[in-house]
Amino acid sequence: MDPRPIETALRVDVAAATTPDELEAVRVKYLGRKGVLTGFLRAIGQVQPEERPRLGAESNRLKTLCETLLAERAAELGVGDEVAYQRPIDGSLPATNGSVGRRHVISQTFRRIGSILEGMGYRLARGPEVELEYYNFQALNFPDEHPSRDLQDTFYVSNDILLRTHTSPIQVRFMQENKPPLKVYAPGRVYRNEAIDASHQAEFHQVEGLYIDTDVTMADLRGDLLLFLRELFGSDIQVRFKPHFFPFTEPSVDVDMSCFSCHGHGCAICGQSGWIEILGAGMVHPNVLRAVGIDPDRYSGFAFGVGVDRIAMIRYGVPDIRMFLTNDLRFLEQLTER
Amino acid sequence: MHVLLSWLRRYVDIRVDAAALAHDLTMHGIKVERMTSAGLAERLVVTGHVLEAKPHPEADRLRVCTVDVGQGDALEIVCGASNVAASQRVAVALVGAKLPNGLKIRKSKIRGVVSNGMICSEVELGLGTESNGIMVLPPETPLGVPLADVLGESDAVLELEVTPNRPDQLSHVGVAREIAAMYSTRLRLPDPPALREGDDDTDTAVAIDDPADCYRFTARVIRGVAVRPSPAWLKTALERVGIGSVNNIVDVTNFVMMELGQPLHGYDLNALPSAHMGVRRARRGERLEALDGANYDLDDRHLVITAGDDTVGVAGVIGGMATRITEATTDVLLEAAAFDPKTVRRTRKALNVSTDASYRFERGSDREACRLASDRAAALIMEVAGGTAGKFIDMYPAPRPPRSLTLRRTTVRRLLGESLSADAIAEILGRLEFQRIAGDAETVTVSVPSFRWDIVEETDLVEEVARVYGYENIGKGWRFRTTVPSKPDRFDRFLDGIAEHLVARGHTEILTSSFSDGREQRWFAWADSDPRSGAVVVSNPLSSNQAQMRTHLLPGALDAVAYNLARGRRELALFAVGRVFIPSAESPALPEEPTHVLIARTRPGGALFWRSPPEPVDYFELKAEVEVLLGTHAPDLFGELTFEFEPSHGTFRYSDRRHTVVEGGIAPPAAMRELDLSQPVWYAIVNATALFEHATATPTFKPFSEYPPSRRDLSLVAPSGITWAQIEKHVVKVGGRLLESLHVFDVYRGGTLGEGITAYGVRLSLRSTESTLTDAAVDALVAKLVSKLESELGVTLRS
Repeated sequence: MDPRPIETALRVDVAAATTPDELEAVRVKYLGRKGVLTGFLRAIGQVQPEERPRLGAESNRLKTLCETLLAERAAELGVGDEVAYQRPIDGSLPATNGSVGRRHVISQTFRRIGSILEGMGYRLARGPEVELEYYNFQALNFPDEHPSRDLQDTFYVSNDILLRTHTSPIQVRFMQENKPPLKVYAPGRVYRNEAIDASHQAEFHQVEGLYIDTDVTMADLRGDLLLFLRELFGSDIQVRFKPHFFPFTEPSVDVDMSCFSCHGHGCAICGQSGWIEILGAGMVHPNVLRAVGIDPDRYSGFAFGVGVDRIAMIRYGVPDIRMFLTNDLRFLEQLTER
Repeated sequence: MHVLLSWLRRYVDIRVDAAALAHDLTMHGIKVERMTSAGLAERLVVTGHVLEAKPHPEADRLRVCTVDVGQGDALEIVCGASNVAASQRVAVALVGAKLPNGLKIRKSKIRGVVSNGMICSEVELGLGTESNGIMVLPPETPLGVPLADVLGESDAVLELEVTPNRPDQLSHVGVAREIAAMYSTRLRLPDPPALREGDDDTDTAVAIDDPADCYRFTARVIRGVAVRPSPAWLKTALERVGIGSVNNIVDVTNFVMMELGQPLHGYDLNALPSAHMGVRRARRGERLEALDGANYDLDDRHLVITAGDDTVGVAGVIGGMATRITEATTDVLLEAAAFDPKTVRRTRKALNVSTDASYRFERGSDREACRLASDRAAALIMEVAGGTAGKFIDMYPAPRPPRSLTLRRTTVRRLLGESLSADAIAEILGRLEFQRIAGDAETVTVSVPSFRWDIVEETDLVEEVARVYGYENIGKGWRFRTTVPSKPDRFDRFLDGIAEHLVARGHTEILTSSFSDGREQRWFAWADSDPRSGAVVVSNPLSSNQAQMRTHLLPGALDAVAYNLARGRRELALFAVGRVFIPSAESPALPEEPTHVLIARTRPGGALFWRSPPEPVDYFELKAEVEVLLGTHAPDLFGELTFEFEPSHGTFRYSDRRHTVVEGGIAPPAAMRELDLSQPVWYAIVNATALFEHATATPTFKPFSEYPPSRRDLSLVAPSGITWAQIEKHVVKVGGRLLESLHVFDVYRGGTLGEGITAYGVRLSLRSTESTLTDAAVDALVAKLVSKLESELGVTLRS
């Protein structure tokens, strides 16, 4: 009994099999109940007893070899893969669980604004939401007992502690701790004690921008805002500066941008005017600089404040500011923008 | 504030139409919020003559009128007004006309009769606020001409947003001054004729208690007036700017206030207890019935006007009822004064009342304007009510010295980026009545007009220059530059990474209110020593359930859960990122504001699904979520945290030496009841601020072992009251650096073991970095472990 011809035939047969079915036939030919190797094992009983151990070992070797060769060839032919694919009863049936998560539209807008400003050289600064009256008003040149304080209805915790009405106190804190040149943006939640309706919420969100250096001019303000708004709303956006009043800037500016939807022709979004009031800005008031020990004769700078909720409402056509805090999933799930 | 176009034209020539004026004013810094036309512009509304008014065949209340409109055939028009009658002259809106209320006139059929236009009322034409039927014109009115021509020029009301720094804009002359500057034209101030003043009025006197409260007080008596309704021009002018007509005297004082910005008050001289007028602080216990019919209790915070010793008015705010001008008044005492803005503001806030006068005084009135306003009002009173004006009595203890300011060219360039010559700057400022009094090629020194309270330093002049120069002309040649490199904020990136992680794991972000009604304190019943048992309290909240700042994110999140469950969403995976406000131990310091991340999950069991349905959320699902988060975002810290489990509440906590880093569990039963939640909600709170403190180290490479691991499976039997965490702690400690992993593959409780007893099937994987561990070494370690467990916890090895 010579195992060598069997081995040769096995190798040839395995190599010759080109489909899983042919390979299966090879398996049956050698390992089946009436297979070649099964026959070889049975035939060992017929030989001389002293020959048996050697032939038994040969038989085992052949069987292992056969299995190995079959498995290797099966892998080459992708047999196992096909078996795995054939398992499901119908692969078009719905998948098992896997829910889709989303960012809140306000976070998304914060991120978008933040990444644009970081690209323009602004870095992030933050400050407390429960704030000292000093930072929220006094250091920002709101005189005591002055009607300018009526511009921002305020929640008070005590005489000298309040809920910040804007993100501007962060600029004061930052300027106290850092020396010019400085260029920062300050995102966060702010509070106003206002009657709530479709366009007013007692809690909303702002991003403040601040740039202080020697010779920062109103032209730089205009340029930075133009870059910022074009990045946010489109490259054909125009801006329009109107004089305004904020206690902490002089000159102060009300900034309009041309309507991104109708390109200035007039539509429902811009109230037919072609322009949308988008933010407030101005050159930092010398009193604000003095209060933090920056010499207004040496340094100048600008600040601007953007309403994040307002940006999101305009960008996504959200009709009611209250939707942002209601957390209706039917709302949260529709405004994902990556 | 409302201004009337025709009124402005008294003081300045305006050559553009109302819409262009509104635009120019807005771009100039006086925002026109709204413009409405007063009077009639539509030329398709013509005068007509009613030839016949017959009853409508199908409707009792309608008439079918035949109207001659002066051209072509007479028109048949259906009219619903009860006062329409033949031979009236009426206003007819022809087909095609557009009325101020937006109505477009079309040929229409009304109950079967064709109507070729509309007979209009004053209201429909925007000419009045009320009417009793159609507008009936005088019989001599010409026929068939546009009604606008009959009524005269059309007019416009501009609603202005005047910022608090510009009280000088709260008058027609003030706005006209801006217009004159804007169009480079001349302002015409009212110029009342020199008054023929009567004899010295020795009975009248004025006194000021404290010149810090009242800068100037003037009085003038006008005797022999006839109080009656105002003439039409006066009435119309006031009504169009939103001030109701009272009588000719009061109307003149209001007219002059709207003209010059100086509030005036007229007293009935004979109702005053004395003509000795004074200004002082009220005395505690004084009371005044004011013009609005309310009674005000006064004290020394309030500034009042007195006659003799009696209080007759609240200074700068409101006059008294008893001394008001009535139809019986014959002699008037006219007050024109200037008060300290802060005092007026304090007074009116304390009394909770606001008037046109207090609005102007608290922003700052022009104390130099008292004389002109008094003269102007006296002249107008004599014109509309007769009478004779007496002497102008003036108490002006400390006239404000003229102020001047110097503006440098370099400052203009530094702030605006525009290079203007000194002469150009002076020309611009001159247009706003800042007169150049000194200067050279580099500087301009100007006098500041007395009405410009807001101009106190050089920068303020820069804004004036910018406004007139035009904000739109600034920055034309700008190029981007920045001198400061930006760098990412690490905490912001850290939070954003966690948020994106949770999104990828299927959670939707919610944004919740920072306010609370104290629910978290009720639900969690924290011990007094826990700072969260207190809260930052808002003294003037919007409502009682928004009266404090949250110390926990769960209540707001459960609101969102309840809201969405109520709308049929049963399966929720939410997260929130936000600050909580932990009162500081050392009040009155600001609270701590750590940023927390909340995860909330709920899923009911038994949902129908073609495969085996997902199980309800349970404790271990939530724990896995937390561990994946910690393992991803604080890998070094994770193994070092202490874990505690509170079986009675189903809550857990991971903490480092100083903070609770994560805590969570099942929403408390009180919350479930209060919000009527029908399915359990599992949550975890991650203190991101605390976690971030650990996320700083830069990891260094550690070599891994080249030798094979040794595995040992043990069955450990724990007596009642011992938790896995306790066992794990000892295994980790004894195993030391050799312990590669620890895997629980079976937990079996009670049954044959006995009540409360637990058996854990545990696989230890041990590996050394230095050599292959020998069986003897492993056995020794296991023996040491078993003896340690037995002595410390009473845990034994099951044979």
